[in-house]
Formats: sequence, structure tokens, C-alpha cells
Amino acid sequence: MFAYILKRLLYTIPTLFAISIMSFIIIQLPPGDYFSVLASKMAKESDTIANTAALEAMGARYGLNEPLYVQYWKWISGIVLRGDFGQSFEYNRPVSVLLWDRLGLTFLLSFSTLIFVWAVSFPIGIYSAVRKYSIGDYLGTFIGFVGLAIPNFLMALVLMYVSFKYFGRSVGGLFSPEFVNAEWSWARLMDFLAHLWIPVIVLGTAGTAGLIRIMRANMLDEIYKPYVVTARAKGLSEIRLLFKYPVRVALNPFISTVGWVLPELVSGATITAIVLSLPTTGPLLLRSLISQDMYLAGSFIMMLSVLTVLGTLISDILLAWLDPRIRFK
Amino acid sequence: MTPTKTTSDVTDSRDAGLAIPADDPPTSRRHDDRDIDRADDLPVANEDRTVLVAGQWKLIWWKFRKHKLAMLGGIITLFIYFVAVFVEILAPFPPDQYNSTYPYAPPQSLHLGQVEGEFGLYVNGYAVSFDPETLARTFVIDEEVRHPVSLFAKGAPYRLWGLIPMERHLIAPDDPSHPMYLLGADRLGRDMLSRLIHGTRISMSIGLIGVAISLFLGVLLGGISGYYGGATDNLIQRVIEFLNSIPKIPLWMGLAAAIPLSLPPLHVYFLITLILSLIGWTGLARVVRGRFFSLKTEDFVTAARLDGNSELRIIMRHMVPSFTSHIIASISLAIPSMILAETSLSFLGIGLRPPVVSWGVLLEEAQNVRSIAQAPWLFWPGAAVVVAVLAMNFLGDGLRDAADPYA
Amino acid sequence: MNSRLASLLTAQTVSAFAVAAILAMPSAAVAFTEAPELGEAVASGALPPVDDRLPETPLTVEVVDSIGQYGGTWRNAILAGDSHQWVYRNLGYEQLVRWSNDFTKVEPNIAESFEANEDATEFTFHLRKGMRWSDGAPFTSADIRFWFDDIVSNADVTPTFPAWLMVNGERVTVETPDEHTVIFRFANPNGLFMAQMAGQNGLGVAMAPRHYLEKFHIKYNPDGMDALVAESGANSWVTMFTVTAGIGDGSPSTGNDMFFDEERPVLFAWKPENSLGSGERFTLERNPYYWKVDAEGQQLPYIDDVVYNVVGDAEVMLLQALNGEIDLMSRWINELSNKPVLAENRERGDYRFFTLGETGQNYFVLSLNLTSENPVLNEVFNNKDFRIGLSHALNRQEIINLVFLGQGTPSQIAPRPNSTFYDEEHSTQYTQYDVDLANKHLDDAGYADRDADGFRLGPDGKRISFIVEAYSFMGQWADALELIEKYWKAVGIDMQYRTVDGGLLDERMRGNQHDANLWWSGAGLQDILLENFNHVPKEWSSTWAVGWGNYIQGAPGGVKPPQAALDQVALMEELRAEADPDEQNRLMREVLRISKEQFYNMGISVSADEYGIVSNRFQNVPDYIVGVPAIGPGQVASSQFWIDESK
Repeated sequence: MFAYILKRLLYTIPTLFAISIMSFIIIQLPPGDYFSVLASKMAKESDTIANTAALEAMGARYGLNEPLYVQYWKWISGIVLRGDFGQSFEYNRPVSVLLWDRLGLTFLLSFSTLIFVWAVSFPIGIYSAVRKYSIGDYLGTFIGFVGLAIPNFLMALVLMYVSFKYFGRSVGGLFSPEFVNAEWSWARLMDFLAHLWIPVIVLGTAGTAGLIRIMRANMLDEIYKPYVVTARAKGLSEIRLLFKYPVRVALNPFISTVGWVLPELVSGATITAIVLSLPTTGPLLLRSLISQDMYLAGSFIMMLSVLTVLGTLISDILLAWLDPRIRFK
Repeated sequence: MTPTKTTSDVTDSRDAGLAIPADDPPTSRRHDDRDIDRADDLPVANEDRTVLVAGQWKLIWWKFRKHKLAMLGGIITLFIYFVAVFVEILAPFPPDQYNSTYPYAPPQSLHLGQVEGEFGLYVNGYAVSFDPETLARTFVIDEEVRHPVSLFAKGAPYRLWGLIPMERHLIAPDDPSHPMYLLGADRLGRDMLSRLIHGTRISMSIGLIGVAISLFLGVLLGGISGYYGGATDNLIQRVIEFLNSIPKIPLWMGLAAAIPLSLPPLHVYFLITLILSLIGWTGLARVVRGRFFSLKTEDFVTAARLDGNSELRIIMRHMVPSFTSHIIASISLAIPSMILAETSLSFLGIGLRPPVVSWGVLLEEAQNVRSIAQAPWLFWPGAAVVVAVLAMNFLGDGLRDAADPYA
Repeated sequence: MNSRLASLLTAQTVSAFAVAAILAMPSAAVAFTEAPELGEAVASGALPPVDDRLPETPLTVEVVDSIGQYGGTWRNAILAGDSHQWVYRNLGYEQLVRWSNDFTKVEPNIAESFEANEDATEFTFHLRKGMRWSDGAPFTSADIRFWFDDIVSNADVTPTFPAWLMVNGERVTVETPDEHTVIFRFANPNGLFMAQMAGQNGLGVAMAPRHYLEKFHIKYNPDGMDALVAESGANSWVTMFTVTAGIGDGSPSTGNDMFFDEERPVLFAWKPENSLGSGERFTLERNPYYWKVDAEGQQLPYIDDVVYNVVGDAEVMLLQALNGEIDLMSRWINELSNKPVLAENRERGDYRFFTLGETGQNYFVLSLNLTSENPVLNEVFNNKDFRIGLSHALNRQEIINLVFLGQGTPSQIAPRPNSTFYDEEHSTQYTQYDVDLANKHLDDAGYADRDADGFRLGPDGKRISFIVEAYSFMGQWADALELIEKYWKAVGIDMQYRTVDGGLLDERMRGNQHDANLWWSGAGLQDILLENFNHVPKEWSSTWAVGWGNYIQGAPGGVKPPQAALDQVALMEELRAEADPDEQNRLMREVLRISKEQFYNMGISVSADEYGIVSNRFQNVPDYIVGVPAIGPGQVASSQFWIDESK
């Protein structure tokens, strides 16, 4: 087992290297740099059109005119040698601080969503497997799929408008203005929950269909197996019969995919978060890409990629641990 | 990946049951015959006799028919593709025909009754007023005014599929200058119904090529990886890991900005879809690899090998067919996710852009408070997306269940 | 068009000697009072009494409607990821001198008074005795010296010396004979200096607190610099310094740096409590050392705090506005198309509209790149008959009706009707929608031959085909192009349009890679004297002839302009060195006359007034505010806004 893990870890090193180069290439793909994007914003906002010399001077000041490999080396060596992810131009703060600031609420939102998704899809998944092609199966699957089929940004906007129109609530964000910078308290928690339901529903409904389907398929695989038939023949009650073995076996694939959730927790819900103006990491990433805030964007992409690799690693290890056959193949 | 893996595990045992004896002559014709003959030996003796002698595809069809939602999904999907094929005839107007009198005109309903002395279809006219202070246009349906409408009326000339010159439209006002907004008008007074119909073609087709390429690469590379194993497998697995770890939105944004501007927007989108599909094959490849891993030690494969079949023949003739149905299901599930991806990317401003008309573009134009408050009919494309995605998902779901006809 | 703006016709805003030294009325007879929230700090001795905090002669602000009451929080919003210019427009317009509310004359502000000599070479500013920064440190001429010597004249900090501080290539000199006097001396007359000082060029002049910034400047702190730079995370002392100083040197970094360092003392009515880069909320509190009072001697501002919610999406901001959560807003949500929905919710959101008077020439300029590197398009675009033909093919009124909700009058790129420089012929030439006339001009231009699809053939025998590029964030521009594409198709011209992200489009235009584009129309009132890039080639701002602009600037990629354009450039040089305002105007008219004759580019419609929303509890906000470029509505002092809680 240890050797297996070690082998997998060693394999990730070249992958990570390739990823770092890829991340850097992605942020360098669009023409221009942060200052040319900023200049264009300023032209709109204040009718000031920056002259080329000033733009080049700004680029030179931040080393943006240097050859790509030099810029890449500066960036990656900072990360590897000093754990320094660079400085965001737009916010004028270290990238790590910016991400860290938003990670807490992002995780909170993602976990709430995850719990919502699991709470909805397990019962439906199990039910629709056991009562295949029943009205309940159709209804449950239908509801799950409707959530999947409505584009998130559309549902977010509609729910936000409904919340504005009929509840008169302060819209957008995860807190009312007076609670944004406040300490955690009962009132703040309540305010948070009152804002939380829209993103959780939007994000959650999109995820339930997939899970229902997986759960249903896994259950269908299990419940026709001989051991279930045997157990039933021995007179076990249907509920016990289900939860004693098939459900547990059907859950295995879930556990092995938990690792995949890792990057989702950080990046997930970008579009919904933009529409709802949530203080999570997704909009930060998108904005940094649009404004070509290269260190923020690059480090962000790099981090997401690393999390994906780690997630795969974790799920592979879990799988190997759960199922010895994989290890020895 | 998990669900597909598990369903195909079941398909496995069925294939094993159909395995042919080692002494079977290596001709495909005989092989197929044997398939059906040997069905008698299956451990499903309590089934109806017709089931036992039915071919695999027939069995799938029977199984599929049982899934009511999937049947419905299939019918709707066919209908949507029918619309996508005959867009020019079905749409009353060209998608970019604007009208400065009727921006944000609400939907009219189609009536049957006396119009201009004859009995027929008509729509009522509008009375329009404009408030210069609030800049709001108010439309009141004017019951007095009746504009006659006909089926297969003459309208704007067009070339069907860019080839056949025609000018009939399924439904159109007799006088083309009369307003007919069955689903309302957008901010430039363009007919939403026409735009919705025209959007169907692009939304329903743009993903097909991408899915096709992903499919090809996925089966090929997944097959190689699974069949040969060892170092080849390891290399391909690392490549998959690498490609999987690239976040899609940043990549898409980077590409969108780097592609030359002189290309028409549709080509740009097409190009990016292509590039993304070069990355998107990984999911299918993993599944196919898993299938190959388990299949290559199966008796029927060993049998074919002992018979002296070439590797390619073993793969194409014996192994691939055993999960064709699974692949079909994958496709039917990949297309709706492409449709959804298109809307999301349009929303982010990195997908298709006007003047191209797709559901994503239409939704992006509607995605604002003003539309939701004062022109909710602009959200019809959203309904179209939901229906299409639902239908294709049910279809795919049914296909996947059916792909395993003995379960 | 608007009576308030009509006064601009006569105002000689930019002349040096016409600007009288206006003294703020010293209100010695009135006892100064302060906001109740400061009472405790003063009583405990944490804060000096109000008389010691105010300068000897504080500026007495003339309130718009009523003397206000203290208290309350100004609920504001800013769009995440966009420039911070809105904050500046709200409360950052505190410069040596300022534009009057109606944008007609330059008034004293930080400077108690100012004067200029006859030939406009010497400008003297008298500062207020006893004026203080928000941390209580005295504000003196040394702060302005620091700005000039160590920021503007330091080539590391300011790589390109600001053009507005030079005449004929010679830099201005700044003298500070005593603590309260600053003299700007030019070698040659600079007739536009005071206007620039009152506009956004003058932003940085009085924004550098020497006592605070010296620590971050290598010249004053050579030993401690390495440690400071390391701590800040910046890559050099220069980047650390520019961010800390929030430098307004006209470089593109201006807007975003201003509110990053919450420690830096300010002269604004409110001082930052946190950094604008730090999160979802940017809050400011009352500056106890603010140097303005009302007529009753109450120290301003009336409002206690200003809170900006950093909103991720403009639609969310709109909903917040509809919900009555924003007190004053005239950015992001004030598109014409949003007006109906904002109007509908006025009662619910408890707000009213105010008009933000427009000052631009047009909604946009439609530039055909006269220096296109495509030889065929270059030849075609430079054919004046071709441009005239295209202009006649445009149904401007229909564009106005559909895209701009009926607001506007067809017009070319020309000064607005309420400008001194208005020329009806210039505005209306070739604006008549006439397809036959358009076809005739295009035929005359030599492109009468058409291909099988009815498109005209160019000099190379191939279809004339080009792409117009526009910003993707300007939805109305794309809509207009949708129509323009069809108008031009009707006269046999194959135009396609593309919407492109801001930075990318700029990059392309700077590189002269575009065929044609839509672009900012530029100043349309008296300020056309300062900003006229759509009439005279100026670097890449003149997107209709980037090559000419580069030639004149001496930048790479220059193409020699025709004589007419060179004449215009010469006239502009003459104008800048001219002290007599009448003579300045005469020269400007001559420049515009050539522009009219050349017909370099085309416009659609005079841009209509914009609007903003203001909550009903907000007092002293006029119904009409001139949208001074880069400043409006900021020239109306926000320190005299007050909140009437009873409403």
C-alpha cells in the first residue's frame, strides 16, 4: 500500500510541472496585459486615454515586458522556493491573502450545498431504484433533471428577482450590508442563512440529478444480486435488507469520488456566484482572468489544477484501500 | 464515471454468457448466427420465448419502450431536430429582422375568426404609447384591428439549407409589414419565435462535432490504454490526469481572446469547441479502458485470440460491439451538457456572440433585471433549453438502462 | 438645449487672466461648530477643538437648498473589478482649484485664492493658513513641492513627465517662496493650464502628504527601504511607493491606487477606514480636520460615514437600487434601457431621478481607419466620397429610436449645440438618410461595379469587405452596429461587426490592426480645447488614423498625415501658447473647420443627458448636475449632502 502511494506521488511531479507551464500559458494567451485592460476601463470611466509610452512604462515597472521564460521563472520560483504566489495588481495584495479571505465562505457554501445535494438525492436515488418505473421514480428523476436542465445563471437571476419582488430582502451577497464586516453572532448567522438558500438551491438542484442517477444505477446493480435474493428469502425485512448491504455497497463509489470534490469546493459555482454577487473565490478567478491580473489568475489556475491532481490521488488511494484488487493489478 | 462503470459491469456478464466456443469458425456471419442460437442457453428460462430469440438491438428496443419518460424524451428530441432541420420554413421571419415600432412588444395570441371578410387566422394589432420621461413603451392589444395570418404564406425569401430558394413560411402575416409576435419581441423589435427557432439549429448542432471527436479519441486512446496496459497505459493515464486538471473556463477565455478576430464568430466558437473536445475525451477514455481491462481476460476474447484473429479484428469485431450501446448512451448524455455549456459560456461572454443566434446568445441578452421585470417572454429560450436538456437526458437514461436488456 | 449650460457659451473658463481671484468669504463673525459625534473626542482631549482643526479661513460652501443636520450613513456601491473612479467622483474631487457646479468657471478650493499673469506664463496659488491633513499634520506648500520634486519629476516614479506640465517641450518650474504660496512658471504661455488644474490632471497635486510619504521614498529613507519593500510584498520601492502614494500622474494606475492605503492622510471630507482592495465593504468616516464649513459655521461634512458595498454584478446593484439600498448612483445601472424599470420602482425604492448633463459630442464615433495597413481598405477609406456615401446610408433617426430609446438628434462628430463652437453645418453635414444619394456617392467614388450578391467591388476587383470592432461591454454599440450592418448592405457594402473585450480592442487599435471601430466621441463643450482627438490626430486615441497620430507624437508606426492634418496640429500648438481666450477660440474654430472639411469620421447622434438616482432622504442634491468629464457629479460638493431621516 505504501509503495503504491509513493509511486503515485512520484508520478504527480511531472504532471504538476506540466500544469504550471500550462497555467502560465493560459494567462498569457490573451494579448495585452493588466495595464492595457485597466487603461481601457479608465478610458470609459474618466475619458482619459493612456498614451502608449505610459503603458509601456507601467509594464516595465512590473517586469511585464521581460521574456516569457523569465516571467515564468520568477513566478514559479517564488511559489516553490518561498511559497510566494505573487501580488495581485488589482487588489494590491498578496494572492494568498486574497484567496484565504474568501476560502472560508466558499467552503461553507460548498459544504451546505453538498449536504443539500446528498440529503435530496440519496432518498430519491434509492427509492427510484427499488421502485423502478413507478410514478415516484419518474417524479423523483424528473425533479432531479429539471434542476440540472435549468441553466444556473438563469435560476439564480429568477430566484433573486423573486426574493426582491416578494420578500423585499436585500439581494446579492451572503450577508445584509450591516453584517458584512460584523463578528459572528446569532443575528449574523440568521442573516447568513436567509441569504444562503438561494445559492444552495441553485447549486444544489444542478447537482442532484447526477447523484440520483449514480445512486439509482449502483442500487440497481446491487439489488438483483444473489446475496440480496438470499437475504430476502431468509425473511429479512425490506428496509433492513436494503440498508444492511446494497446501500452500503452502492455508497462505495461515492467515497472514492470524494477526492474529486476538492477542486469543486474552491472553484465551483463561479457563474452562480457572479450572478448572486457572492464573496467566494469563483468570481475572483473570473475577474482576474478578465482584467489579466496575471499572478492572481495564474496562481489560482495552478491551485485548482493541483487540487484536481490531489483529488484524483486521494480517490485513487481510497479506492485502492477499499478494493485490494486495484492495488495488485 | 461511476454509474457508467457499474452499468457496464452488468453488460459484462451478458457478454460472457454469449461467449462463443473456441472451435467456432472465425467468420462473422456464423458468429452472429451463433449469437442468437446460443441465446437459448441463457439463464433466463422463465422469460417469454420471443425474448429468448430476439437479437440484441431488438431487446434494447423492447427494454427502451418500457421506459415511458425515455420514450417521451426520444420523441421530443426528434421533434427538436426536425425543427433544427427546417428552421427557415418554420420561422415566420428572418432572425435579424428588426422593427423600430415594436421593441419589447408583448406576445400576441393567434385567433380564429372573421378577418377582412373571410374566416381565417388573425392576430390583433397593438396600440403603442411612449413616455418620454420614463422611456417606457406601453403596448395595448387593439381588439379592433385584425391582421390576417396564413399557413404557408409568402414572406421573406430565403434559401433552404443555403441551396433551395423559397419564400413560404409555415405561418406568417399576409402583409409582411404587419406585426406578428407570437412570442413577443426583443429590444430591437425582432420576433422572439423566429429567433428561438433559428437558435435551435446552432444550439443543437454545435456540440455534435465536439462530441464526435471526443468519442473517437476516447474510444481509441481508452482502448489502447486498456488493451495494452503497462507503460502505454501509464503514459496515457498521466496525460488524462494532466488534461483533466486544466480548468476549463480559464482555458476557454484564453483561447477566445487569442483566436484571430477576422474569423466569423461562429467559426471561433467552433474552433474552441474543437479544442475543448480534444481535452474532453478523457472521461470516456477512462470508461473504455476499464471495459477493456475486464474484457480482455474474458473467455470469448481469449477464444477469438486462440482462433488466430488479428488484434485489430479482436478489438473492432469482438470487444467494441460489446459496449456500443453504452457509447450511444454516452453521446445522448454528452449533447445536453454541451447545450448547457453553450449557454453558460455565452453568459460569460466567451461563447457565441451576436449576430450569431443561439439559445445561449438569446438567454444572455435576456439576462437582466429589465427583461425579467418587463419582458418575461424573452426567457422562452430558457424554456427551450430546459425542454431539450430534459428530453435528451431522459433519452440517454433510457438508452443506458436499455443497453443492459437482461437486467 | 439647456439654459444652465447655455452660460458656457460665453464663459471663458480656460483663460488665464479672465479667472478672477475669488476669495472665500472669511466667516470670522460666526462661531464654528462641529458634528456631535466628535464632541466626546474633543472633550477627552483626543481631538483638538474645532477652531484649532479648521484653517484660519475655511472654505464656506454654498449649500444647494438648505443648511443641513449632522448624522447618518451614505449607503453607496461600487462594482467589483471595475475602476474606483466612482469613489473619486463622490468625494475625491478636492484639488487646488475646482470647476464651479455649472462647469463654467474655475473656483478656489484648497487654494484660498489664485492669480495668473497677463501672458499666462505664471500661476500663483495661495494656500489656507492652518489647514491640516486628516491626521492633524499641517498642509503646506512643502507637500506640493514633494509632489513636484519627488513624484512628478522623479523618473522612476513618473516615467513620462506629464505633457500638461510642459509647453513646447519645456517643463514647468514650481516655486514655493513661503509655506502658503505656490507658483507655477512656464517658459511660454500656457493658456489651458487653469482648466487642466481644475480637471483630472490636477488630481495629484495636493494629494501627497510629505510627512507620511517620505518614509516610503528612497530619497528620504534610503536605509530602511529594503525592509519596508519586503514587508509590503511589492517588487521594488517604486511600486510600493506609487501604491502608497495613490499617485495621480495621469498614468493608467491612477484610479485604482487612490484608496488602497487607508493610512495615508487625505484632504477629503471622509477618510478611509479600510483599504478598498480588502473586501466586500469599503467604509469611510468623517475627517475631523475637513476644511470646509457652511454659512452657519458648521464644519462639514454633514454625513457621518460613507459605506461602499462592493457588488459583483451590475444587475445585483440595480436590484439593490430598486430596493432602496443605495442613496446616490449614476454609474453602472444608469443605462437608458434601465430607466423604465427604475421609474416603475421609484415609490418602492423611495428615490428620485436627477439629470446628469451630458458633455460628449456623440454616442460614439464610427472610425474607418484611414491608415489601415490593408492597402485596398486604405485606399477605399481615404476616398472622401466613399465616407460620405456611407454616412448618407445611415438611418440615424431609426438608430436613435431603437437603440437610444428616442433620445438624441442626428449629428456628426462635432461640438454640441450648447457649445461655443457649435456649427450647424458641421453637425448635420451628410446626416440626411438617403439611399439614392448614398449610392450616387459610392458610384462616384469609383466603386460602381458589383458582384453577383450585389456587393460593391474595390480597386482590386474584389468585394469591399471590412470589420468594425466595438467593446463587448457597450451593448448599445453592438445594437447600433446590427442596424448599421444592414444599412450598408443595402448600398452594397459588406461590413461585419465584432464585439471585443476592452483590453484586447485597445491593444489592437494601438497596434493599428483594426479596419474600423466604434470609439469614444470626446469632449463636446468648451473642453474640446483640451480634448479633440476625433478632429486632430493624437496618438492612438485617434482610432480613425492611428498612423497619423503616431507620426505626430513621434511614436513608432507613424504615417505622414496629409497637409490638412499637419495644419491642424500646427494650429493646436499655436492655441496652447495663446493667452487671449478670443484668439484661442478663433484658432479652435479654424481647427474644427478643417475637420469638417476633411470629414475624417462619422457620428450618429448628439448623446442625450444621462441620469442618476438619489434617495428621497438625501438633501441638497440638485435635479440637474453637469456631467463634467471624469468628475461629475463630483463638482457638487458631497460634504453638503445631508440626510433627512424624517423622509
